[in-house]
Amino acid sequence: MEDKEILNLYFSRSESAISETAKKYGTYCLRIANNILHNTEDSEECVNDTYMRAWNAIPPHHPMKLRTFLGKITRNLSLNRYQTYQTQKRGIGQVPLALEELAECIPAHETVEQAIGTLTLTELLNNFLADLPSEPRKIFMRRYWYFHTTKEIAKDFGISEGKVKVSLSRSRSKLKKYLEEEGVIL
Amino acid sequence: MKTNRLLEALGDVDERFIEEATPSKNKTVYPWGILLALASSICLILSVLDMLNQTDLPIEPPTSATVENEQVSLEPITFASPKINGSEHGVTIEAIDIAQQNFDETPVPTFFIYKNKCYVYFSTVFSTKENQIHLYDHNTFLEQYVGKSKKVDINTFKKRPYTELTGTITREFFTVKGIDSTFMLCSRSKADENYIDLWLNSSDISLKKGADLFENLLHLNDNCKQVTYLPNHAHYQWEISKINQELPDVHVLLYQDYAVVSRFLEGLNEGTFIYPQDVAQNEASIIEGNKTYAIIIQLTNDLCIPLTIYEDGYVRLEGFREFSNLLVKVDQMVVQELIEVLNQKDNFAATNSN
Repeated sequence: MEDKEILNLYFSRSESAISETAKKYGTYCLRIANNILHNTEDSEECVNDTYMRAWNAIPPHHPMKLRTFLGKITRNLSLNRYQTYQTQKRGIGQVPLALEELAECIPAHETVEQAIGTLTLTELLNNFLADLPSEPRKIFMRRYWYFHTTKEIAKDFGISEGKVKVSLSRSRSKLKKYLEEEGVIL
Repeated sequence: MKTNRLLEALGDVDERFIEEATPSKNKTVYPWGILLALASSICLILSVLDMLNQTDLPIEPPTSATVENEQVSLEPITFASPKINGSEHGVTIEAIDIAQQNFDETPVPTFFIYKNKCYVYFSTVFSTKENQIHLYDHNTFLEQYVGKSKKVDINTFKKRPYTELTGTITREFFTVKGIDSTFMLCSRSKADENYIDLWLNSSDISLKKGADLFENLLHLNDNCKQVTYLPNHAHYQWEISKINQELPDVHVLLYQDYAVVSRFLEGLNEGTFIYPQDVAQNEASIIEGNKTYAIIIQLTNDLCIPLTIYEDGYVRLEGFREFSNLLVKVDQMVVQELIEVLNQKDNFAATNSN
């Protein structure tokens, strides 16, 4: 079913909106959740919560891209649940590794002029991503948005794992430099 | 913590970057895959050409729809939704223009016109039938006989649509006890007398205050018999549970809580109808962290009115066609008072049926 038709189901408050969403994007959402949580039961719960959030948000919200709209919700919900894992000392999966890698992008304090809000930070990230060439950008997003392993990324892009790691390392250095130039404190 | 912020900010980046990196879109395509795809495309083209040579395929779609089938279709009505306009003065749902509808598709929409209002099928409820969630009694549900609709051919209808009680179906219609007839009418199901079909007029209507719908048409405050809370459920999940007959626990509000319910309903009447696009500007607050509470207000005639209450004071009437696209902004204090009651589980007598 086309996204437009699924959205029409949401707008007419038809319960089949959920089953059609699950049919088309269930696997996509489940994979995002599972990359973060590495726990099938919790991932399924996050995906079910995603449907509930979508049901409550549409209408009035009218997503331009249903897939990424759902993906964002799943990612946020899964990261929130991941925080509870952390408090329970259950650090697993790709998130701690991704966090460790992203720590390299944090600008040094002495260059900082002022703290910025998350919204501004997102705008800066948008600018940074827009300036990256296509392939490194996709690799960066696959690693830090979708939390795929470098091995998975290498397989999907048909390149070596070493090349993925080099690409990510370069992107992180560029991001650090960019944030420092913008005077960002996190 | 700093990296968490980076991760959080990354979550909201432009959707085109997310879409571009979607896993399924970036699989490496191997040459043999392309060859296979090419080969199957060629086979498909050849077989279509072969079919065209051998058979006389119908090219033109049927020119007119007929109304042979008397069954009420449970599929979504093929009516285009009427346009909804909103401003600071409220919301207007435009009239359905029958003459402009395209009826060259099946199923033909099941609708009828009564006193110049267009009623479309929206739900079936069960009456005096065992093992169903809600039982409706003809004696408490049906009120006054309205008349028998005259079924006319769709093309005749388009030429002269606004005649008294005419439609694409033949039914005997009744008013629903306690509900304004300009809002809802009902008919006994043709297939099974145990079922009642509900017909809703959800167009050609202006709504400013919540009272325009909840008080003047539904008479919610006067007719409220019971309020049921569905903890940790949205209404669609409840509907699915009903179909699967796996009913979760629900909580029926106790007598002493009805003062709060009454204040909530008064607040709902005082609330303002919001044009969905206006609310979309605040979409972030609705999507993110805005907890929702699903309640069902059961009326004295047993009709169930499902409401979704958003923590920040928006209320949505679920499952009532175009009305479900609208939100009512209610005083947050009034909503909070009800939410507090809903959160106090001890206040409820748990039950899994009503």
